Amino acid sequence: MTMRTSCLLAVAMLALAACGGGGGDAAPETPAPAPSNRVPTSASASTNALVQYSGSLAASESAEPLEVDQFTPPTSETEEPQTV
Amino acid sequence: MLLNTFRPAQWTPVLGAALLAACGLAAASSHREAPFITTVPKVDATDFYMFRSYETGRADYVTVIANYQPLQAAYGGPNYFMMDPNALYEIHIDNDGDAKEDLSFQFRFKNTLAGNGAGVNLTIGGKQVAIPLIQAGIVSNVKDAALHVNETFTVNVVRGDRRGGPMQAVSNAVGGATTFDKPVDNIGVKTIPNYAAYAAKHVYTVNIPGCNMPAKLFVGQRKDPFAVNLGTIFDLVNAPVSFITDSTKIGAVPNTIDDANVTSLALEIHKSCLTQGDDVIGGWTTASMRQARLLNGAPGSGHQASEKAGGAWVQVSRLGMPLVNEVVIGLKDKDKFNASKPKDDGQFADYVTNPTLPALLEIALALPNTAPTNFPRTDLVTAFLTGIKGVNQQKKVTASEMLRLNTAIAPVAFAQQNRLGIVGNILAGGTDSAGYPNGRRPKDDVVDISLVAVMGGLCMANGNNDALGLGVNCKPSAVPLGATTFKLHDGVDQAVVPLLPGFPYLFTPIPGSN
Repeated sequence: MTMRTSCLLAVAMLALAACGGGGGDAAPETPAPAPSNRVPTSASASTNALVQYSGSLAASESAEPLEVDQFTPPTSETEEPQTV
Repeated sequence: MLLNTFRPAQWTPVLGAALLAACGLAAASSHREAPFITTVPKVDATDFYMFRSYETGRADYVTVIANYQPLQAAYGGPNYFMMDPNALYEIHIDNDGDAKEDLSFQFRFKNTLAGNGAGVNLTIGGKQVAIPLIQAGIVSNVKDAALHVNETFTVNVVRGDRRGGPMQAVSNAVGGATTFDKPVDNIGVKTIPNYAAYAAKHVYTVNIPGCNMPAKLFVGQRKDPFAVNLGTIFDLVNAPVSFITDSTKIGAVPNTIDDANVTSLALEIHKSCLTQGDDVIGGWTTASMRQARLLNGAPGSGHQASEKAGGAWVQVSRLGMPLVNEVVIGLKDKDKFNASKPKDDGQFADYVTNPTLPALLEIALALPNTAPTNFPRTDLVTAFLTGIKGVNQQKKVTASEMLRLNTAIAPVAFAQQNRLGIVGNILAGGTDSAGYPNGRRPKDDVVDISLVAVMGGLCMANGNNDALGLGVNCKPSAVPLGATTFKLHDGVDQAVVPLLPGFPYLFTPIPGSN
């Protein structure tokens, strides 16, 4: 087998893998979504959710900041602070 | 006298100033006093005053002033010292002695670029370009057209629990508006030729729901009214003991922070609005921040667009009596104190009953046996936690740290006020019972008064017959310094700091340029 043939075969195999292994009638798999750098909507569900989310953020020396433009933090005038 | 047994050469630091140095006393009675608050100066309470107004015709009113943002350099442009729109500033009143707030005045701030957010632009080469300064010309009026950003605020009054009680808005007695304008800081004499007149336009007559009489309201920059001997203190207290016990030297040293400004939240409220069956009220101020904050790595155009804050309010600053968190509370508990409530002050009791300050002085100065010996220090418990019976103690008292004012004791005209408050009045046999620790007036020299108190002055005054009800062990024999205690001072006289004759009492701020 020549190198060119091997490469073509490898590409074909990748294509078949992307199609779910070669079954011509199977629906293509949905590709996994790209990781989001946005604050999740769930963090705005309640002040508790916000505090829990904020507390879950790990310090990082390399990550880029989360995008917060579309995020509206929930507030409360009456609740006592969450225990952290 | 004990002090006479020591040769002056042995006394390298000044006793009183060393007291302040050992406690890290900075530029106000409570400034940068705790580790966390040093990171958020906009919510750092520096001083709290509460006194019956001594301006002619206003004797039935109580003035309360809470100062924030310490050590403002007058030239601190281009943004100067706006308050934090993501913070909650409060003044609390306890009028039934249960160590819980019964009234809270809540201040919230908002900064808005001129032109409904568009800002001030100049046409440069055919393009509209935003200017970099907060003013575009001379400023002389409220909401002046020359201001690039307007700072406004609201005041709500909450009755009962500060978070759970009913909240109502304080309104302008003229027109009913509930949003007020804060004057821009004193940028300089070219921008604001007559700052005193400009600021005076921002003194409002307001209606407080539930109060029968209108009140006065002002929020704005003021000259810092606190006076302290700072440079000498931090230079290993470079002064002889003969200096700080010489009463002719009480004003010999320049006030180190004479060139600093501060931001004041001031209210003048009829005493009937504050009291509830007891002439004595307790007061303190707090500041809170939102529990969660997300910083924006790509802020859009706007004003203070770099953060989004959410969650509940978390108290991060607390101030009632001056100097408590500065010189009484241990370093490991200063952040805890700032987050605490008066009703929980039992956790700090040891700091008052067994204070470290006098002992620190003994160690730092190698002056053994100069600290008072009456333990527990019932005199300090009275001064800081309960008030003095018959002077400023509530009918029902719960030991807790707050400033207590007897609203039934008449105010004294400025010229007749004793700079040493109650202690000075006792020594002088005078008639001024309206001074610290019965409330606090701007003229009261709380540094000298506190120095005298912590080194046993109250026990000297209490005598052998417990005249002031401070405890039978609080007597002259427990005070090694004896009568010399009354002579202690830091060399800076609080009483000469310039003030206004009436509300808001604190002086026009230093201009950024002359």
